[in-house]
Amino acid sequence: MIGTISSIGYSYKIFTLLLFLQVLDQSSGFVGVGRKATLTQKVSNPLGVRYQTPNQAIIPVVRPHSTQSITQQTKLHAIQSSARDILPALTKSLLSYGGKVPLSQAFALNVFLFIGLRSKLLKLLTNQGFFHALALGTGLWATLGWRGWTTCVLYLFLGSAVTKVKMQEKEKLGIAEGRGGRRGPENVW
Amino acid sequence: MSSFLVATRGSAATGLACGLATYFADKGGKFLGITSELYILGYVASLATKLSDTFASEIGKAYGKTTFLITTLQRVSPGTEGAISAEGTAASIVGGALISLFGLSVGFLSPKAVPISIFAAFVATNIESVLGATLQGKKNLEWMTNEVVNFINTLIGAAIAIACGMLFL
Repeated sequence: MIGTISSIGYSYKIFTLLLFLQVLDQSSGFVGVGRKATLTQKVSNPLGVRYQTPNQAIIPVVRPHSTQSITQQTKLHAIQSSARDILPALTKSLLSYGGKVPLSQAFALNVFLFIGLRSKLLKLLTNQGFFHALALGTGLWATLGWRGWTTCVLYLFLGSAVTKVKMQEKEKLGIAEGRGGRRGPENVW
Repeated sequence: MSSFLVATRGSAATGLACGLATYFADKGGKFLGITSELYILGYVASLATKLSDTFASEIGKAYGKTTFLITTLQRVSPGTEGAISAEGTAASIVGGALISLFGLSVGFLSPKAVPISIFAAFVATNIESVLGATLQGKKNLEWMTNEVVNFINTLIGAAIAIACGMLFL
């Protein structure tokens, strides 16, 4: 069963990556239209005068000898400055206080977290429960941010830990939770 | 069959509802006349109620020496709906406190809101035992499954916390 989730996890990774690119494209002009204007500016500044981009990123001095080197340098700068833009955008989503994280970002973050934690989570949740928890996690992150998310995960881990206390004795008496305490969709919601 | 077991199961619907209300209230604003801080308190209290309930029944089942019905105080076997024990009751306070203190540590709750959350979780857990003893598994009340009782449970926990928060915070 865990194998099934792993193969699903792989296609998830690709999907998440695409989603991330799209989100970053919108929020920081990673590959999209927003950056093009800046690129044109850079090319039209072939003398290599130091100047600052709108987001205060200092572009190193460029002394081009041919058109090709301009393109190469420009590409490098585009990658450097976009990396500078992504980090604050991501950090903002990750540490956002009052929640209000866009749903797509919350989903992407949750997919990453759930893939990372899947071996642990699948001990506590059934396969179906796993996907329901992913939906719940996305909702909680979007509305309450990382604090709401971690509070709920803490509940899941502590609740599962205490369910396993004296599991064998409980099973003998027939009062243990079913499925060894793994939670299905009806327990998640 | 599961309705005959004291099952402690998650019910995050209340939590998500509090989350949505927090979202609509905006930071520092209000939604339906209640501030976002109180909805956050309701959220933490609903999870505190869940863990309090889980701790109570699981520790009660594992270590409860004498278990009796919360309504009639009749002695019953561990695992019966609505059964309580001293060990389980003590554990329920620990469970509620763990989530509430986590809420404090991440800055979700102010120090004054922590006892409110623990109190709400404790009261709601005991109300759940009463509901379990009186309503659950009765004829004509088949819809009153464990999950439904759990949802009502978390709803009560959040409501008590928000009401207390309005009065004392």
